[in-house]
Amino acid sequence: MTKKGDMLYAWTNDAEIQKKAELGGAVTSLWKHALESKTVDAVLAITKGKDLYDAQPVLIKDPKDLAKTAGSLHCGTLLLPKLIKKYLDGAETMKIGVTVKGCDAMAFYELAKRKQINLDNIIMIGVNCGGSVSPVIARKMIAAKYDVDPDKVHKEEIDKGQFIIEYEGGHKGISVDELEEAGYGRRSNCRRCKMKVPRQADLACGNWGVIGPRAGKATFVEVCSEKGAKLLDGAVKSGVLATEAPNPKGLEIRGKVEGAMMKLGEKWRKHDFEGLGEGKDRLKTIMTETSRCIKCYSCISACPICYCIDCTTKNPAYVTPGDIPPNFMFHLIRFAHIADSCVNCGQCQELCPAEIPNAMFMHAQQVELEKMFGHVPGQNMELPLMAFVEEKTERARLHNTGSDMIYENVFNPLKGH
Amino acid sequence: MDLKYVPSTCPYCGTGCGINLVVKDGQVTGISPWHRNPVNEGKVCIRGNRSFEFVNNVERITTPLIKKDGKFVEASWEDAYKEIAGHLKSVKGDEIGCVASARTCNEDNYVFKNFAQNVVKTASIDYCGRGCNADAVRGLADAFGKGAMTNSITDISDAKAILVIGSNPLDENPLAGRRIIMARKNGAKVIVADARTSATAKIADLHIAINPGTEVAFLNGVAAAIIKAGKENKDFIAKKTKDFEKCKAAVAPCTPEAVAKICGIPEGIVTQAAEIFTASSPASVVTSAGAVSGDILRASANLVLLTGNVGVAGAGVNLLRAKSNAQGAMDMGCVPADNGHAVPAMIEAAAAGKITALYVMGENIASAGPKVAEALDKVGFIVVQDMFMTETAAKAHVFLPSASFTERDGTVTNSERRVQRVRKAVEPIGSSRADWQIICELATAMGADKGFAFKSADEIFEEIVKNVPDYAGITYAMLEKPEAIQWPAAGGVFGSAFLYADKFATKDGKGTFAAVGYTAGEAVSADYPFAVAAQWPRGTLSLNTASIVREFPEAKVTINKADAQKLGISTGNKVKVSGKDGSVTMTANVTTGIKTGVVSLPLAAAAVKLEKTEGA
Repeated sequence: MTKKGDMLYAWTNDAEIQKKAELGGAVTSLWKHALESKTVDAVLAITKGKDLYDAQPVLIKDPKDLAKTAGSLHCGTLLLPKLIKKYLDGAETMKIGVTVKGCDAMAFYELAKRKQINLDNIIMIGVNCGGSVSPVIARKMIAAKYDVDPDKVHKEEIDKGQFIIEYEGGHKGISVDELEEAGYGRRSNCRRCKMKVPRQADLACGNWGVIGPRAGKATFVEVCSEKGAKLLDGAVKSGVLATEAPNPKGLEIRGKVEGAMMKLGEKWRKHDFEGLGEGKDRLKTIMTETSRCIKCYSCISACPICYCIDCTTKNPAYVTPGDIPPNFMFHLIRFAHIADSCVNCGQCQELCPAEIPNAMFMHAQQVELEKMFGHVPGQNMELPLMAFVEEKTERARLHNTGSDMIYENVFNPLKGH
Repeated sequence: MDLKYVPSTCPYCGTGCGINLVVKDGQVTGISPWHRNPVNEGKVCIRGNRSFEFVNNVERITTPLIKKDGKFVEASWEDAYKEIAGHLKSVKGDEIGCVASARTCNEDNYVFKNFAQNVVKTASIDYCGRGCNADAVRGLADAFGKGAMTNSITDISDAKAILVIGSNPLDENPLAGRRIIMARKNGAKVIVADARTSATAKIADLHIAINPGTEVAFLNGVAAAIIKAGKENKDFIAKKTKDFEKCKAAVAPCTPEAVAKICGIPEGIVTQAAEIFTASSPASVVTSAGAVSGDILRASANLVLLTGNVGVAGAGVNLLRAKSNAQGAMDMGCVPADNGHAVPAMIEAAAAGKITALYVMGENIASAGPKVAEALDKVGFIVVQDMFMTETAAKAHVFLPSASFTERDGTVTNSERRVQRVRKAVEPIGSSRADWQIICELATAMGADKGFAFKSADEIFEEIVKNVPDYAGITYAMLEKPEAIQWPAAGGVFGSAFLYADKFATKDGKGTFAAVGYTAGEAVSADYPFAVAAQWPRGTLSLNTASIVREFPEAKVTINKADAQKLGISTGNKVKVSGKDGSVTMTANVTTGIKTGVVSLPLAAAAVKLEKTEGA
């Protein structure tokens, strides 16, 4: 019996999975068991759409279909929890297993805190993630830096600090540092990310720390919850998964890799946030950049913190409908509502048609707020500071002043007229 | 619960952004980013973001309707076809007008053109309700050989200088506008000529508030200033073009002083624009199709020929189209034959009793103004194929319900000649049918024995590639790749991201300068003191999308604060707007972001008068 905190090597016993899966196929086997044992009703994972660069979510109910998902897609920059909130009833009506990156795991917690996702019905298998690359950038990068036709590439991976491609006639790796120096490489939020091993998932899986004869043939599994332990034990018991204790040297290596990645994340934070300036300079940068906004609402659609049906950005008292660009209040509302809980998933920036570095702005503020109030978003179910305002009491207090409109009470725009 | 993504192409503007339709339990319930699409990389504007809303709008008409005693009555498809066949057969071909659609697929437009030509036998077929596209496209074809954007939306970001004129891409074609933002981030200088301080003007390095209708004078002025400074590309002109002298003579009267006066701009600013445009290359012109845009396109073409800015990435004349398949509808040949009428002429003929039957597919021609609506009242028999009861549809005698872009297969061709797929994600709602299917069934009901026996959109496309040379060799299978194919397909070889690298597609292979002089349009007068900067109207899809109606609840007239004060108008007041063609009432939007003496509104008028009718 495994328990929370256990670490082990795991690989599949299933001949079919073995043929296709990477790193011993442990994750695929765990999902196979989860579906067969009815632990989950469906698994939400990523599959190839039109090609290697096109990541699509797929909802799998038949274990046979799991083969479709095998293999990593570093060009997959999707955020799954918001899709579950929007399109799968927030997992209210079905149990869903989800393979998650760090940003997915963090987003799950933030949506769950806001009662938009029922975490009781979610099982998360986390995977180590060193970052992802937007697909069109990846193709340009492969053509320009690798001198390879991106259509000829059949596999890509990030390993030992290199982005490696396999293509018709060979394989080639270039260090991520060099690629990023040239303006390619990972999304800017991924560079700043320090959630490399998502331990708030039920199981945290990956290749970091698998050494010796099992290298490349097994997955490192860290048991992060009782739910995770139960799933793992079940899979072993059903015979689909084999495990062994990890090589102690591997544990050490795993720690080193994680530490190096964290350091790199810190380096990028320093680089990006210092570039924003401080105080008024920072405000000016933010105001200049956001003045290009075309109000597509993509940042709001994709944000794992946004869930309000009546979004304040649609209140005509604050933001005049139809104005393009909208006034700065549009962005202030987003900062005020989100910055304390921003998990730096990068969606608001990646999807911005006006090329506004939204995630950088939001993340920079989150880091400042964390310093001030100590709240770390995306780790657990702990609520942000704002949640401790008792809304009913606060509304009543305001109402007693003659109006329950916060804006009128605080700013009292009619006073003196 | 079931969930799937189906890649498709946004149904709104001619940028042709890729989107993923989110299908849950057999219904399109959302749009998700399609990062892999090269046009927009997963990014969309508000229209794209909400492009699933109209699909499920309860106002959609999903049953054929026949008007009886002035009221629509639900009918079977068979009865509707019978009704149409009976009427159309009794009308002579030259009395029938056919309006194809810039927002339905190539397959629909292809069979529609054949229907017009071979079944009802009319030469009067056109695809744009506002009579602006055909001339613009002709302007490009005259200069370069092909009636399309010379370059790609993606390669606008490679430009080092961009002149935007007659267009507000950040608002109208936002994901093409993004490329201007990217170019600017890469160091490009951006000039915007617009009477309004538009969203695009706000990101410009140089905003020149020219009077509406003076675009040609401005462009000629820039050309004249370049020639005067001796900065024309003499080598390019000598080797690759002809008729330079004609152009030189035509632009000569547009001295900086003359242009300053005509355009209402400071002297010296034209020379400044010329300096920016020639300071580094590649330089490009970005424009869109509006009123009298044929000459704007010719004058723009002169400018890029003059500076050698054709045949390389980041250069060229980039005509951004308003609707998703404006390019494709033209490629399919939905333009009037020599003896046929374009839409504005059809309307005149209808008013004169010379067009007695109209067949309109997916266009709302009545929205162009009160004059069109009146003319339609005189037409004896009107058929409309659409999803909603538009102003035009309300005047129909038979209404045929079209399936939405999520309910059928097909292809659309964006501004940059990229032929992209539209995919069937769900079953058609109610008994609506794909436009091509309706046309084919009707043609068969009218006795056409060949040319309409198609079972799928794919089969029609196979016919298209045999008959439209620029599409030769393209197959649906090739379009599975997210890059799809930008024509000319050259037998399926990719890479026509920009045209004319070696030579032009004109008969002699030379780029052809046009002698296009500035002629003043309808001037403002004491009766109609305000010049009109045209604004794109909200179309059928927007009007049936709650999220967009929320942003743009009504047509507005934008007026400068100083002008408004003189007329006692404040924001929110109702204003009667009168022009030569009649009056409409609109809500005022008072701003400093428009030149004095100019108003902006979504109507086809050159000059108007404003009167406040209500409001404090």
